[in-house]
Amino acid sequence: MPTRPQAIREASPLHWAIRVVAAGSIAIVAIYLASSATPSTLGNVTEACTLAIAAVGLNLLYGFNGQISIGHSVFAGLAAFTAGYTVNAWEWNPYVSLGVALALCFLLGVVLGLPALRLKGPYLALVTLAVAFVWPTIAAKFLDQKVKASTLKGTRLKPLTWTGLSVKGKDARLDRAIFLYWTAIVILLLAYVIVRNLRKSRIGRALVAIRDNETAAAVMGVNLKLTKTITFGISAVIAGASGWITAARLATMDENTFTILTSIRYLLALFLGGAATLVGPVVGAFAYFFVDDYLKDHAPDWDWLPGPLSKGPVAPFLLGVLVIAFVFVAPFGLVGFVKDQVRKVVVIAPRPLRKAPSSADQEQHEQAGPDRAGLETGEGRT
Amino acid sequence: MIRSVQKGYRLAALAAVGTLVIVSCGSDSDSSDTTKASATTAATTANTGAETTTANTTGGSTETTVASSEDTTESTTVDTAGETTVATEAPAKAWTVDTSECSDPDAAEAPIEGTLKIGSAQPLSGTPAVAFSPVKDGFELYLKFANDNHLLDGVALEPDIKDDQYDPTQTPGVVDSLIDDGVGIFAGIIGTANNLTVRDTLNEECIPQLLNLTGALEWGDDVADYPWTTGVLVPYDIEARIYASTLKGLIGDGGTVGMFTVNNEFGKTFGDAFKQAAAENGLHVVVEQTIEPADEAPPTNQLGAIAAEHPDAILAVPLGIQCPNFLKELANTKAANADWNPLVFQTNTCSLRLLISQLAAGTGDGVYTSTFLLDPLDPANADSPGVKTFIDVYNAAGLKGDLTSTSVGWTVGETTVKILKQAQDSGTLSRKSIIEAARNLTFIPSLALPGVQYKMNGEADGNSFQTLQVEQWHQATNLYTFIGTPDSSSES
Repeated sequence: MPTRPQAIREASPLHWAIRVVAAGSIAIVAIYLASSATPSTLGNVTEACTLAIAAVGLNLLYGFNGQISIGHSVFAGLAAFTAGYTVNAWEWNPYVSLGVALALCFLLGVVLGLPALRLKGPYLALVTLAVAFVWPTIAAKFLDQKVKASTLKGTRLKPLTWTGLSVKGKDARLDRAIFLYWTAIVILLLAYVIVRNLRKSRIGRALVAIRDNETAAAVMGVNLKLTKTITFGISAVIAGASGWITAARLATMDENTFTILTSIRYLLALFLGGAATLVGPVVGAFAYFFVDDYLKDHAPDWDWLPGPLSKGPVAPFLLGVLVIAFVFVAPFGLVGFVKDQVRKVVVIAPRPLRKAPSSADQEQHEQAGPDRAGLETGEGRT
Repeated sequence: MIRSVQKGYRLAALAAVGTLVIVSCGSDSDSSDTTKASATTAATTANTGAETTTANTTGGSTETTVASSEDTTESTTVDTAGETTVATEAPAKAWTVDTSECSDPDAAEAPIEGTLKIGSAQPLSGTPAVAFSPVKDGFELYLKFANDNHLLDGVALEPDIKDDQYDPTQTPGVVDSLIDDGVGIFAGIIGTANNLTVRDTLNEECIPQLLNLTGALEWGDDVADYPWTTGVLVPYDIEARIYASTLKGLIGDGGTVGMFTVNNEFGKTFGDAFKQAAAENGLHVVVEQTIEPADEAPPTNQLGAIAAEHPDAILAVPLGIQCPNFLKELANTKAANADWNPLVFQTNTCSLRLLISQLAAGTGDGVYTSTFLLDPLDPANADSPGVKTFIDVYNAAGLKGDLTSTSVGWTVGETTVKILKQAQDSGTLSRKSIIEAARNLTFIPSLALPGVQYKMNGEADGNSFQTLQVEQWHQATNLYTFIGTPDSSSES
C-alpha cells in the first residue's frame, strides 16, 4: 500500500528552515571554494556561472513566456564587444561599460522582440537563428573598421582595491580568479532574484498566461505587445551581463567568440536543468559545464569503451548520448526529475485560500478592482 | 500542454545533440590506414642505421648555441650528427629577460629539478582535430625519446596536453588548470587566437609559452611586450609572400587571383599578407570569399562566386577538414566551368596527405603548397638519419596517426628539448633560462629541409623558422615535388 507523502505547508517554519539550510549550504560551498580552490577551479565555476546567467535570462523568455530564442549569444556578444571596445579604446571604467552594454542589450532585445509579436515557435526560432548567424559578420566588420585588428582585447577586470585582493605579485592570478568568481556569483544571484521576483509578481502571472494561451491572456487584460517585448528586453539584458563577464575573463575576443554554438549551450543548460523552473537553468548550466569538462578530461583515456570509441576524441559524442538518454528519463530536466522523486516522499502544500470575504469586504474589493486574491491562489506552479 | 512541452523538450534535445554530433564528427578516428601502410614501408626502408642515429641522441640534428654570458663573443658549435656544422656569429650581448615584472620573480628564476611538466592546449576533438591531433602523439613521442635517452641531465619531461577543441574561449580554462597542475612551461599550443588569449596570463606569470603552432606575426613583432611567448611556424606573411612571388613566375605580371580564406585570425592574417604581397608582385586579387571555422559543408557558394570571376589562380586558406572539402568542391566547380582551370595554392597547414590525398579523393593533384620539414613518407628521404630515427621510434610506439602531422609534433618536441638542453647547459634550468635559451639559439632539427633552421636572436629576430620550400602535390606518385629551391629571403 503506497504511503501518503508528508505534507509541508508553504511558508511554514519547517519550509523556511529547509530553504535556509539549502541557501546556507550553497553559501558555505561558495565561500569554501573561494577560500580553498585553485584559480582553474574558480575559473571553471565562473564560466559555469556565465552560462547559468544566460540560461536564467533565456528561461525568463522561453520557460515563463514561451518565446524561443536561438539568438541570445548575440546579446552576450554585443555586451562583451561594447565592454571590450569602450574599456580599451575610450578607457572607460568597466562598470560604466556594463551599464551601457546592458542598455544596448535592452534596446536590441526590444527590437528583436518585435517579430515575436507576429511569430511563434519554430518561426520565431528561425528569426533568432538568423540573427545569431549575422552576428559574426557584424563583429568582423566592427573589428576591421573600428578596432583595426583581428581581435578585440577583453576588459581584464582587476580586483577592486576595497576587496583587499592583490592586483600584482605572487597571488595576482589567484586573487583575480577570486574576484571574477564573486563578480559572476553576484551577477548570477541578481539575475536569479530579478527573474524570481518577476515570476512571483503580477507580471510573472501575465507572462505565464501569455505562454499558455495568448488569447485568454489578452481577454484578461494583459498587454501582449508590451509584455512580450519588455520580456525580450529583460532577457537580453541578463544574457548581456553574461557576455560582460566573458569580456572580463578573456584576454581577447573575436567574431567567433559568440556563435550559434554559444546559443545552443544556453539552450542545453536550460533544458537539462528544467525550463520554467527557477533554479533549473542554474542547475543545468553547472551540470552541463562540469559533465562536459569531465568528459573532455577523462573520456579520451577510457580504454574500456568499445571499438572506435576507445582512446579517441569521444567527449562530444558521449555528451550527446548522455543528453539523449537524460531527456528520455527526465523530460522536465534535472529539477523536474528531482521534484518528481521528492514529491513521492514529501510535498509542499500551497498556502490555504484566503478566508472567503464577507459581503462588506466583497463590496469594498469590487470597488478597488479585479479579484487579486483569486489570482494569487490560482498561481500556476510550473 | 504537458505532452506538447515534453515533445518540445525532446525535439530541442535532439536538435542540440545533432549539433554536438556534427561538432564531434571532425574527430580523428581511424583515418590513417593508408598512412600506416606507407609508414610501414618507409620504416622498412629506414630500419638500417637506426641504431647509429639513436646514439646521436638528437637524431641527426645540428645545433649552434649562443652562450648567454655577456662577455661571450664567439659561438660554440657542437655537431651531434657529424654531418653539418653551422657557425653563426653570436651577438655581443645575449638577450636576457627581465623578471622584475613577473608576478613571482623568485619562481621564474627557481631551479627546475626532478620532473618538468610541459603543458599544451590542442584540438583533440572537433573539426580541426582531423589534421592536428597527431601533433600531440609526435610531441609526446619525442619527449619520451628524450627521457629514454637521458637527453637532459637529471630532469624527466612529462607532457600534459589537454583538449581545447580549437576554441579560444576554452583555452584560458585549459591553461589555468595546467598551471594549477604544476606545468612549468607551455609548448606547441595550436591556433592563433588560442595563443593570443592566454599570452597575457603566461607573460604576467612569466611562464614560457614556447613554439606556438601558428604563424601569426605577433610572435615575432611583440617580443618587447610579450618576451615569454615564441612561435614556431613560418610567419604567414612570409608564406604569403613566397606564394605571391612563385605565382608571379607562373601566371605572369597582371595575373588574377581569387582568395578563399577561413574567417578567423589565421585566415585574416594570411589573407591580408597575401593581398599586400600580390599588389607588390603585380597580381590582382579579383574575388575574396570566406568560410566560418566550424563550417564543414562544401563551399559551393564561395567557389561559385570565385568561378564567376575566372581567376588565373586561387589562394586557399581553409582549416582542417575544410581543405579536402574545398578541393572536392573545386573539382565540381571546374567540371561545371570547362574553360576554367586555375592554379591552386593552399596553405601548408593543408599539406598533410590525409587532407590533400585521402580525404580529398584525388582532387588535390597539382595543388601547390609549401613545407620546411622533410617528408617522412618520401623514399628519397629514407637515408636521412633524422627520418630514420623518427620512423623507428614512431613504429616502435605503435602509433597510427598521420605521419606528417606527427612529424610536426616530433619537431616541436625536439626543439623544446634542445631549448631545455641549452638552458641547462647555461648553468641553471629555470623558466628564465629557458626563455633566454629559446631566444638565443640557432638549431637545425633532424627533420628540417636543407637550408631550414630555427634561429632566434633576442628582440632583433623574434621569428624562429623563416625558410619555406614551395612544392606541388602529385597524386599518381603520392608525393610532393619541389618547385625551385627553399626561399630563405626572409631569414635575418
